[in-house]
Amino acid sequence: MSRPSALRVRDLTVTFGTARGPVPAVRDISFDVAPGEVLGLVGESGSGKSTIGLAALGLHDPARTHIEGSIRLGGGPELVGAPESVLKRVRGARAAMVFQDALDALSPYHTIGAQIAEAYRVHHPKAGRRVARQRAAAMLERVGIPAARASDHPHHLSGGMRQRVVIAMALVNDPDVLIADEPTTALDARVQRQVLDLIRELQTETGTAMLLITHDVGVVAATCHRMLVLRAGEALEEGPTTRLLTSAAHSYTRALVQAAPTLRTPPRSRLPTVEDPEPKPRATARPGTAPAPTGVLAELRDLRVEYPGRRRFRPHTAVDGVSLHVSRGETLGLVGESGSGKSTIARVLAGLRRPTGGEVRFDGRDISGAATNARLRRELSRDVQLVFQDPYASLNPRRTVEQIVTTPLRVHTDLDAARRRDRAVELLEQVGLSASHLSRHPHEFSGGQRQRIGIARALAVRPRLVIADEPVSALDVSVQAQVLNLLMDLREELGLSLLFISHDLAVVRHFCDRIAVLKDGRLVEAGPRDTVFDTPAAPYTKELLAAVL
Amino acid sequence: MAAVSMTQVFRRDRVGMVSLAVVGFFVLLAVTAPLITALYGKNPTEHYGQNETGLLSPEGLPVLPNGGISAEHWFGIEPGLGRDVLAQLLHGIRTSLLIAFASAAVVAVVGVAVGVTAGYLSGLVDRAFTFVCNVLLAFPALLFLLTLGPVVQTRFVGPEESEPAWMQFTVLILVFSAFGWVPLAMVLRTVVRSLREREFVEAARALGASRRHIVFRELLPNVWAPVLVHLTLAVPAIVTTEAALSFLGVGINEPLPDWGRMISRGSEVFYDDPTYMVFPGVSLLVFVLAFNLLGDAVRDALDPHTVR
Repeated sequence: MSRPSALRVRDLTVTFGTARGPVPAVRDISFDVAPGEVLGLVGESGSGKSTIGLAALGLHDPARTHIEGSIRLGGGPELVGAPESVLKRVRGARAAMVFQDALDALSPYHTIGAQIAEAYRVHHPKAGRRVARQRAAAMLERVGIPAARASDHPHHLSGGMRQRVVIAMALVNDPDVLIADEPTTALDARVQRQVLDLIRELQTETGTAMLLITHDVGVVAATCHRMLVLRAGEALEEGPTTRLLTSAAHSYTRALVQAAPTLRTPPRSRLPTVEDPEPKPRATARPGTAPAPTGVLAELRDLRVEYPGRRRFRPHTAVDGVSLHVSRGETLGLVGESGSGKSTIARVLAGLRRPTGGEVRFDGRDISGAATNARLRRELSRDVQLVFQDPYASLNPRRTVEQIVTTPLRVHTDLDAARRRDRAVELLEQVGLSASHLSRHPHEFSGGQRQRIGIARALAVRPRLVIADEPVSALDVSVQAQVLNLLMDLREELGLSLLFISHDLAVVRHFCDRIAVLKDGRLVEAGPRDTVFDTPAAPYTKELLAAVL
Repeated sequence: MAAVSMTQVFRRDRVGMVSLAVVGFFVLLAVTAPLITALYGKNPTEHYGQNETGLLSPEGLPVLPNGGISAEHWFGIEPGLGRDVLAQLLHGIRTSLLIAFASAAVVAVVGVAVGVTAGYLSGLVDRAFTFVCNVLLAFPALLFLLTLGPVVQTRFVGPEESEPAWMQFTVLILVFSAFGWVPLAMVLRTVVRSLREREFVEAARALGASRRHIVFRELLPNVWAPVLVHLTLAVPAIVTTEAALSFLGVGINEPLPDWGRMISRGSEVFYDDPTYMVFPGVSLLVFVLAFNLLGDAVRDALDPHTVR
C-alpha cells in the first residue's frame, strides 16, 4: 500500500452477549478503504453489515458487546477499546454516519438549520453561533436545499430532502470517512437516484472515503468502486465492483447479483436463488408468453376514494378516477411510488375499504358495499384473497401455523377439523413447507417462510383472484427470488388471476402481463407489459424507468 | 414470544422462582387452614385466654413472655380475648386471599371485556369509556370505601344483628372491582388500539372473519400478557388495602380472623405486648413482597426486550 488507508479494519470480531450466551455477529473481517474510495458492504439481513458500520464509530454498547481486532482511521489512534473521550473526538468529526431512516435521525423539535449548526459547534467549540449558522446554510445549499429552508422543521420536508439534511449534517465537519448505512432504502426509486447522485458528487468533490452499507446490488453497481460481500458475519468475497458483478468467483455472490430481476431479465423466467444458482427454464412454460385472457374478472370504473380529514381539514383524496380491470388468468401489475394509492385500490377490491365514488365489480357483481356489509364481504372473501407486504405483521404471533392456514377454511367451508388439517398439509406442501410445521408459531420461521405461510393462507379456499400487495418488498433479494418463483409456479399450476402491486419496476416487468402506472391517485398509463416498458407513452413512466438502477 | 420461551425465561429467574414458591406456600396454607388448625388442635374463634386460667393476667396481657408463646400456643395468644395467634393467622390468610383473588377475577373479566371492546370499537363508545374512566379515577376511592361500610351496615342490617360475613365480603369485593378495572381496561384499550392497526387483523378481515372471530381468536390471545402482569401486581395491592381498611375498622368485622385487624389490635397493645404485632405484620410483608416480585418476574418473562 503506497497511501495510508482512510479506514483500516483488521480481524474485526464482534460478539453480542445475550441471555443465551454469546452470539457472534461478525467474524474476522479485514478491509481497507483508501481516501476517495467507495467500498460497498453488501449482504442480506443478518450478515453483520450494519454491525461493522456501528463498530467503526464505537457505537456498540460496551456492556453487551465484545469487540476484538483493530479499527483505525487514517494514522489515528486505535478505536477498538478506546475510551469514550477519544471516540467522541472521532465521531462526527473524522468519521460520520448517515442512517437509513432520516426521520428517526433528526430531532423533530429543532429546525434543520439548528441541527446542522449544532453538529458543527460540537467539534468547533470556538466557533460562534453566527459562524455555525452560516456554515449550516452553506451546507444545505451544497446538498441542494435552499438556505431559506434552514428554519423548517424535519416534518416539513419530504423523505428525500430529509435524507439530504442528514447527509449535510454528516459532511459539515469534513470527515475523512463517511459511513452510509442503507442511505436510500426507505426512498422511492426516483428520489433514491437523486440522493445517490448527490452522494457520489459530494464524495468525489471532497475526496471523502465512503463505506456504503446496503443489501441492494443495484445501489452498489451505481456507486461503489469496490465491494465486499458478507454472509452470516463472514467476508465471502472482495474485489472491484465491475468484476464481482460480471464474474464473481463465489456462487453466493453470483446468486445475489442475479437474484434481483433487472429490466434485461427475460420475463417469466425462473430466477436464480442461493440454493439453486442456475435454474433450468421451466419445461412447460414458454417464457415471455401468457395464457390468453378470457373475459373480465374484476373491474374498477372511475374509482374515487377519500380519507376523511381530521377535524376541520379537507378530506384527502387517495384514488381519483381510476378505471382498471383484471381479466381471468391474467396478472395485472400496479406500479407507483408511495402515496400513489396502490394499496387503497387493493383494499377496495378486497372489500376492506368503501369507495367514495365509482363502480367496483367482481365477476359482474357490484361489490362496492362490501366494506360495510358483513355478508357481502364474507361472500367476496371466498373469491378474493390478499397476500400482504409484511410477513411479520400479517401473521398473528400467538396462533399456530395450522390455526392461521385453516382460518379461511373455518370461515368458508364446513370441513371438520381433520379434513381442514389435511387441506392445510396439502397447502403447506404446495408452498414448499411441510406438515411438521403445522404446530409451530410464526416467530420460528424466516421472513421468506412466513410469506409462504401467508400465500398458503390466501390459497386455502381456492380464490379466483389473489391480490398481492408488495409481497416481496420486505424480503431479502435471494428470498424475493424464491417467493417470485413460487408465485409463478402456483399461478401456472392453479390458473390464478393476480393483481400484483409493487414499487419495483423490474419485479413487475418480470412477473406481470399487463401494467398500470399510478401517480398521486391517478392512472398515468396502462397497457401490455412490453408496450409500457419498451415504448412508454407518459413522461412519468419514462422518469420511473430512468430511475431504475 | 411463545409460551415455551417464556416459561424458560421465567425458570432462569431465581428471584421469580423463589417468590412463586413463597406465594404457592401461602396459597397452600390458606386452602388447608381448617385442616392444619384441626391437627394443631385449636380454632381461631375460641377465647382460650379467658376460658383457661394462667394464660392471661388480670390486665388481659399474656402471662408467659413473648406474647405467651408456649408449646400449647406456638405463636402466643391474643391480648384481651385470648385467642390463638397461629390459628387466627392461618384463617386470616383465607380472608385476605379470598377477597384479593375474587376481586382480581372480577377486575380481569370486566377490564378485559370493557378494555378490548372500547379499543376495538373506538368512536363514540371509546369517548364514553374515556369519560367514565376519568370520573372513576377522579373518585376519592379510599374515602368512598370508608363511608360505604357504615352506610351498608345501617341500610341493610338491623341495629341488633351483626352484618353477615358474605355481605362484608361482597361489599369489599364489589368496591375493589368497581375501581380496580379502570387501569386494566385503559391499558388494554391502548394495546388493542395498536393491535387493531396491525396487518394480521386486516388479514383476518380479508378472510371474511366475523367480529367475534377477530376479537376472540385474533386479539384476545395477544392481550393476556398485560392482563397477567396487571393481575399479579393488583393482588398484593388489594391485600394491603384490605388490611388497611380493616385496620381502620371498616373492613372485615369480628369474629372473622383478619390480618389488618390483628395489626390494629397489635398497635393498641404494642408497648405491653409487641410480639402480637410481629406475626401478622411480617406475614403481610412477606406475602406482598413475594407477590410483587412474582409480578416483576412475570413482566420480565413476557417482555420481548428482555427475552432476546
